[in-house]
Amino acid sequence: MSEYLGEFEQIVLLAIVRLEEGAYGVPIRHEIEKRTDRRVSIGALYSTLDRLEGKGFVHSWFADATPQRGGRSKRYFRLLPEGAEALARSKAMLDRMWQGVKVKGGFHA
Amino acid sequence: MPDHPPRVAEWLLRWLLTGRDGDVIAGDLRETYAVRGGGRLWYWIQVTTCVRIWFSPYRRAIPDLRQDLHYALRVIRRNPGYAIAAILCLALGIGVNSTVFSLLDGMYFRMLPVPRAGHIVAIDRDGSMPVFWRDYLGLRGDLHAFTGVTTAVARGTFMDVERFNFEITAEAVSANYADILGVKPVVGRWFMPTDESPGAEPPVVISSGIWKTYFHRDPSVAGKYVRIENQWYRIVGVAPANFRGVSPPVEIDAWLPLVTFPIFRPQLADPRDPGPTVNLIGRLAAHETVAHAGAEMAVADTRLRQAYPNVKRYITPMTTHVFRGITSPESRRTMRAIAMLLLAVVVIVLLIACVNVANLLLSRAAVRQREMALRRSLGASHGRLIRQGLAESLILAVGGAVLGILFGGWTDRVLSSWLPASIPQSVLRGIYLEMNWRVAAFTAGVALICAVLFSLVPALEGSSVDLLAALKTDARSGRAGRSRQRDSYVVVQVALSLVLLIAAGLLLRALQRTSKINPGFATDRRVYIRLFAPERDFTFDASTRLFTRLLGEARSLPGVRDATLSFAVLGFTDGECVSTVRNVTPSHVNLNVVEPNYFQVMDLPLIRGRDFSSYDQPHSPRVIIVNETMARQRWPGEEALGKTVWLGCGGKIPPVRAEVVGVVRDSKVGALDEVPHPFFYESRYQEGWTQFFALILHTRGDPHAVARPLIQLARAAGPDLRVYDCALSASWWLCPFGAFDGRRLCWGRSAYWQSHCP
Repeated sequence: MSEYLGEFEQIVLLAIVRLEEGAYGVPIRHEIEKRTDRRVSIGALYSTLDRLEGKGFVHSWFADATPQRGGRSKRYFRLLPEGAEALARSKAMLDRMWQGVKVKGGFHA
Repeated sequence: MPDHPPRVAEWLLRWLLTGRDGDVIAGDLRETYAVRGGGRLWYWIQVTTCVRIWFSPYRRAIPDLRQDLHYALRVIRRNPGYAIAAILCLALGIGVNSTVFSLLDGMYFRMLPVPRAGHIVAIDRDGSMPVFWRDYLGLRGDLHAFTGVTTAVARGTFMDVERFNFEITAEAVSANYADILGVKPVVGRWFMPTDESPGAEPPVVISSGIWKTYFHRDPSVAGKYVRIENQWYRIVGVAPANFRGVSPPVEIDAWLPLVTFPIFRPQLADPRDPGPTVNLIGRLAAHETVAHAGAEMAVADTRLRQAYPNVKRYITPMTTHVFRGITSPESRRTMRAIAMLLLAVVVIVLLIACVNVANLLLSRAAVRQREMALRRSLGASHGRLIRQGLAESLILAVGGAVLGILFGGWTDRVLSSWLPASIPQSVLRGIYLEMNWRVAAFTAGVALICAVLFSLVPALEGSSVDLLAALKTDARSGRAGRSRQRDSYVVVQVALSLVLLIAAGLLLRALQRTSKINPGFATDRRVYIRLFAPERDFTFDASTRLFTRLLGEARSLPGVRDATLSFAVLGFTDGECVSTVRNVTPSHVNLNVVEPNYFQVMDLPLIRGRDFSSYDQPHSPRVIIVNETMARQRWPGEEALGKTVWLGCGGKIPPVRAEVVGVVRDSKVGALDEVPHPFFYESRYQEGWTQFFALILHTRGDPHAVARPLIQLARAAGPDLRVYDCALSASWWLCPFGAFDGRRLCWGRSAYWQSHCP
């Protein structure tokens, strides 16, 4: 059985997709906080990114250091085809679950 | 607003997350901290959430390893010269260490190369053979903790393959041997119960070594015949190359059913005789434990003791244990001291290799001083540079380990050639590299230790560069500190080399002393060739005539002063039963059967009495010459000359009366370090049983000059006269007497023999 992504994993992957070439720790975190309106700790973000890389969904590499960062490198992330597949699979699963569902208040998919 | 995040929090972060990952997160936090315009509490909270990363199973243990290795490979590719030198140096050091560890592994841990080897158990009595053949037959049906129990007895013997006659070790086994062990033949089959039936054609399974050397891996070898102990055996199969029998450290060359082995036939034919003592090897039944099997064997042992209360062998209780390494404690004891000595020597060799490589890396660090300074100025930390150095060393060490293992076969030979001949054959034959997970783990461990050992100081040295000075000055300008470092390496290297040199010197001195031990007879300018005229091809008269002719021809060879014939050579002799009073139980005494001029040719002084003469013929009164020890022990305080002895071990042949006509000085018989034993000589014209002689030449000049004519002379006698096998390196059929101190010297000559071999 193929693995489905957790909610935060999906959010992180989508942030990487949205940021395209500029996906490293600070903008990813900013993107998530801006769009979900929730606080993200750096520990939660990097432990998820490490997990996604471990599962082969993203690839990371180190790049240039800047003075604002105290001369430290950035770690950039890129979505891999396996990650894109996992995202699509999770979305399709949610879509199937929502199909024909009506919840109180008249909200339905 | 503070412009710098809390330093303690940052330190904690770097402590939690080492390497580049920690750097990246610190950078992210620093960037956000600047954008947020501070927030010390926020920073602390963020750092504490990083504990989650630390606990994550996906955390990269060594985050920069891949990059470090990649960079190290690039550096090595750019400078292959130093890398090749370092890898070769380490290959030797690691290779010999792995080989010696493999020897220790073989002594203590290695199981048999058979399926589910952990279920194979050895049953013994403190390392000695546990039962007689008769009792094995009695108890084998009553054991339920085993799928079966088999037997094996290793014996040295000779094998005839066409015109070759050579020494082998055979395992006499029960027919279920291969079924119990689960060992499959590479050609043909193993034994079947019918092979033990009376009247069945005796079968033999040969080792892959014999198959390769004498049958050139002929796939149709099954069905061919070989002769062992004057009995023809039909080859029915070939054992796999990695299977060396169940008698380690002895390597087995052939397996045959015990009941067909002529050595045991008299015992097996006598209904009162319990038969030969045998080793027991069992395979545990499914779900059985060694403890349960041991308990069952203990019960069987008790029954044996009750049935045969007078059998001394059965006093020591039987023990059952997993078949692992060398089962005989005595063999282990013999090998342990030498193995430990070897290990100490090869560890020093490895240390020298490490120091060499460290020196090499230190020179590289001097050349790369500017590179290090540049990397430091770009923000690389000390730790980062040290890790980079370690990565490079790791690649060199892994390369050395891989090459060391690939050259394992070669290092076996290097090690063996270093060893003195006095080391037991069991140790020499045990030195081979056999890969298994233990040896692999040892090699990996050694490689890792090497990497750390030889890289740490150069890496530290390289990382602690003075940035400004290094960037400004010429890369080649060294510093006093580095020079001190290299000096200390040289001191270590010289010290280690000195230890090795002293050890080697002591070893050489020991060898020299061995070579100076007087064997009691002349060895200078004497050379011999061992010849065998088999009974089936030569009658007694024919062989006597042949040896007489060969002796005459050898004497007329250019450069030969004189020649003689001797049955015994140092380390090879036989015995005869001797009693001084008729009908008294005789005792066993070693003897030599010689040509009458033997004592003159070998400069063995006759102290009293006379030498053999041409009058001592088959039908004239039998005469013997004894050595001093025999004269002293058999006739204490009396003159041995003229005394009568009775020769013969009883049985159907009546003892033969012989008179002592001479006493010669003691000489070495079995080994150079032995104490004198009683020994006597007979004339080959009076003793008709031997057809095995060493033709000994006393040369005027270099004995090697007569080697070729001597071989040609022996070959000219026809194919039926067996010259000791020429293909086996262990044959020392042609051996200058002066080379007793080193059998290897004789082995070295096998190449000479091969070049003259048809």
